[in-house]
Amino acid sequence: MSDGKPVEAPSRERSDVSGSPVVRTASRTVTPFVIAFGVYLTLFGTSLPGGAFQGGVVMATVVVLVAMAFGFTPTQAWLDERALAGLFVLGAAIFGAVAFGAVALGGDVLELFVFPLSVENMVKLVEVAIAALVTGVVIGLFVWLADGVHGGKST
Amino acid sequence: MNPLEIALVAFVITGALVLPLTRDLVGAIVTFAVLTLGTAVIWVLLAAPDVALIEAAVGAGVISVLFVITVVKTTGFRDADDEIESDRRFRPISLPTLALVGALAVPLGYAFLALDPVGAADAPAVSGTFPTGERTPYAFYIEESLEQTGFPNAVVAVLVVYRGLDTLGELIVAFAAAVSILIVLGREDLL
Repeated sequence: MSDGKPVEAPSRERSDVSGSPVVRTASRTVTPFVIAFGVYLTLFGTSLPGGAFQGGVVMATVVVLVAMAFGFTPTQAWLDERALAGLFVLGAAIFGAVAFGAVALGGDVLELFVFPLSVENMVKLVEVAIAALVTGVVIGLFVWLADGVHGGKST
Repeated sequence: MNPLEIALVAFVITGALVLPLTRDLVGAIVTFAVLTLGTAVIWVLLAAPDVALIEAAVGAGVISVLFVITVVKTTGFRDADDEIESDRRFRPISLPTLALVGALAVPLGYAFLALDPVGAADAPAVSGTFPTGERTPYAFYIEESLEQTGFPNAVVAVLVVYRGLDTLGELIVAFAAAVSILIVLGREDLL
């Protein structure tokens, strides 16, 4: 790895795991439910245990699971890194817009009561923004750290 | 404490003792993930499902994988002095480290013993008032948030409505972490 090559199954452990049909089938089956659970935690955090941080992290663990089951390189080829960066920039932009849009509408920073939408809908908007940011950052930390300097393309 | 709680606490403490002494790095990471999962179950028993979800997903899931990546990219699953004493599974206890950990543990243990017992009627967390007679902030959130925001889950009401600025600050930290990782790794082209 010190010669700067991409991390193509650098360890026996990881290639062993990605070869197991049990792990692959299990992660294939579980993935949609985990994503649904993440969306549920994000959108219904106002009335049930959960919230956007939890939902975002749960959705991000799907990518970790898929990478463990199918190998890191195919997962990274399947992921659109620009979309990933766009995800957390979008989350930050929505939250920032809500925070300072309240000032523009005559309230204090993040005063959700001044918006024309109900407080519950504003909170859900903020929650979706938080979930997008958290998902993007966690997947990004995983993918880019595993990838290395300059995407592993040069030393 | 019921037997389940005692078993979980014993499990977590055993894991925490095994963790720094294990010679095998991957074994240490797996121990860490499992003991974090035990901590998550303790949070559930203490009626804190929000914390338990984060603990299980971040502590046991994402952090362990980040540790595995770090180990793969640095020592490659092998301890530095693996060849010298490969027959021993645990490393010897280092006295300076023990002294440092002890120096941290003593004030923490003192603070723990100074806490009110769980469920004590005069504890600020239960009565909602400080010994001086003022209402505590969390009593305010628990009693007023449902009426003021309409959210049954007071945690989200506090995070987004009352303490939104703190949450914004937290997310700025997360955003800065992702941006600095991209800059350090020379991937600014993605931004």
